[in-house]
Amino acid sequence: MRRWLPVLACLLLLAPLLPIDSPAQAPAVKIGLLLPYTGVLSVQGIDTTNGFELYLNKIGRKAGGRAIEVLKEDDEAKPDVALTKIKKLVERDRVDFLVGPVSSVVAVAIRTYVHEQQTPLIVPVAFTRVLTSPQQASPSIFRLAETTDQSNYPMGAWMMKNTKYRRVVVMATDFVAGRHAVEAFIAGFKAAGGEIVKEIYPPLNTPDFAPYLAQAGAEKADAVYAWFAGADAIRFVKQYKEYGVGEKLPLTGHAVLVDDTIMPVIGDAALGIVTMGSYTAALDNPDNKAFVAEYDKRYKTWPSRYSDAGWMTLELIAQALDDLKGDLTNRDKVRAALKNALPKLATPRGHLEFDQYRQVITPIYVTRAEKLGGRYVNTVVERIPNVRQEDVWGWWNKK
Amino acid sequence: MTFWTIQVLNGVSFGMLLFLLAAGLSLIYGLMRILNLAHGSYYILGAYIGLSVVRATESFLLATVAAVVLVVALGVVMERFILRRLPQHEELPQALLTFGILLIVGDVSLWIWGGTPTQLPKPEGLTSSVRFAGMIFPSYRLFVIAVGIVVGLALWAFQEWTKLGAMIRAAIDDAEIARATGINVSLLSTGVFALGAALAALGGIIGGPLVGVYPGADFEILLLAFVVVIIGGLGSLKGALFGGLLVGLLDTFGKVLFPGLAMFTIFAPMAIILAVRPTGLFGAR
Repeated sequence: MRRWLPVLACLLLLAPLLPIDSPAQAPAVKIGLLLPYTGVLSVQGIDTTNGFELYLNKIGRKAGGRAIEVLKEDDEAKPDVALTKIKKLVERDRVDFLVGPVSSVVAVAIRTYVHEQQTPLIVPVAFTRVLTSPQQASPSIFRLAETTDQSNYPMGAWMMKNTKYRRVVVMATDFVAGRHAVEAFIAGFKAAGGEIVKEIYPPLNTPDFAPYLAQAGAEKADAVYAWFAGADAIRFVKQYKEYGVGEKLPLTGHAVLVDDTIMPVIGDAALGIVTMGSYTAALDNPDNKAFVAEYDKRYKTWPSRYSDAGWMTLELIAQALDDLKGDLTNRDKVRAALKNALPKLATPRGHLEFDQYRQVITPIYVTRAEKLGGRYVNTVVERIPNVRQEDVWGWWNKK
Repeated sequence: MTFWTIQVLNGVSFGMLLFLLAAGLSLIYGLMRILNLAHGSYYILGAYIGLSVVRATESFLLATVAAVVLVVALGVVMERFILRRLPQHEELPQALLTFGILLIVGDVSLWIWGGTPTQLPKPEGLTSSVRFAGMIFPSYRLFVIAVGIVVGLALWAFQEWTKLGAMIRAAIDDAEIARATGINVSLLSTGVFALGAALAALGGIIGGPLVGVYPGADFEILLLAFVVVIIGGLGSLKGALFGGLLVGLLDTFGKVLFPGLAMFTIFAPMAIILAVRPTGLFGAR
């Protein structure tokens, strides 16, 4: 027995290398997730993955007659890390589809690589306007998230019509998503006749907003419009309340400020904040109600717009796989299938389509943060249907 | 006027948090000539352990005790069984080893507590804001300032007036002679290491509700603590206090007056102080 031990050990070592699948079976479709699982934007990455995996289980981990294999990479919301990880996914793992990113900085950084490699990328969260602009749009990039224009520009006109806010202080994280978001708001608000009193841009991951808040509080204005995400949003909204700025200047902003995911951590400081975004768990339609119930059952919490995005991303890919009957050999057909799959879906947001730049045409919602039955919810104040990026980008995209 | 008063209070409260961290770092270096990069780990562990205990028991006091005790235990183990084995007066092995521990603790925390940034809840009764002469200021920040003052006074009294404090001062000045006069410097070192770890854990608990807990917080806070120690002077408690306040105020006013130069307003004064006084404001050597 003893002399056979080394042989046995070698066999055990080599066993995993032996093919287990029968060669006739089609290999699994590989989907690479490039999302932040650590750092300031990790909440978004984790929620996107949760929504994605919920749908994956719903369809029994296969579509178009092929099994689906998921590879997750943590981009840490850093462009340099993301570029390394995406190369790994594309060149070593040879994934068929890419999903990501959350950070707009990362989106800008990987855009050219994706365009050259031609692996279809579905963007669930990153929303900088440039990614689907006529200059940058790539046939391989499909975006389900609204652009910075779609969910910030209309807020200006809405505020002029529905509130008494005429002089507004703007505060946002000093990086591409924050800048682009408030730029769109400023353009929309000015076009509607409003006035911007001051602009304040704290850096990403600001540990302490106190100095910035005191500046905003010292201004003679009617309201504050803000864009902060993840951990920054938690600190910002809490401190906004603590410094009593809200008593003088009501807080408004993009939906990211009071995301469903972070509201339990923010607590009552979030209540009453009016924001604009593309999804809330409170949407009143059967598809969303089914989605919310299923999500709640699995994760014991309500979905956020990231969970919704993750869910829809796989819904889209699965539909395309079904339409292609699992055949991914022709890249042009894959791209066409992705584009044509979206209108067929019954998504929690309702009927969606891609425009000519493969950017989603989506309803946008004005919501208010409230507490209903012990749960923090963004309830719908107004629905603006079929917002197209082409309708709201006139302020910068002059043709 | 109100605006500036609030900013000064902001700066002081952040400075006090930095003081808690820098004090331990500075004491440990002063006595043992060890630049403990794992100090950031004590901070983040203190905050995370505090978070778990607060969630389980809803008691801030219990969380503080648990965090301090566990982190001190880690500090003592590190000092007795790891750092002791290193050759004395060689900085590179120390730096590499403590940096390695910083990375390991960071990854272990990521594994246990996940990558989602979170915040410690504030203790009962400190969640609201204080109103005074038209100013609105969060009461928790006043509490942080109070904790800083109490800890500072306690450390000062301990060093000046107790025998143990005198022994530490003697050992900082000259460990050889102190040993010759019968002071157990080895035991003293462990004690000071434990004290430093305790202060850092306390910093984590106090800072948790203010700046939050997330992967990478250890590095960020360590960097600032180093700036404080460099400005104040290594081995000096007074330096840690004044350095902390200076950095806290520089950071706050830098953000207010030159928002685009947030980092510059901290590091430029540090460079100038280093050029004029290479040992820092209160450093002896």
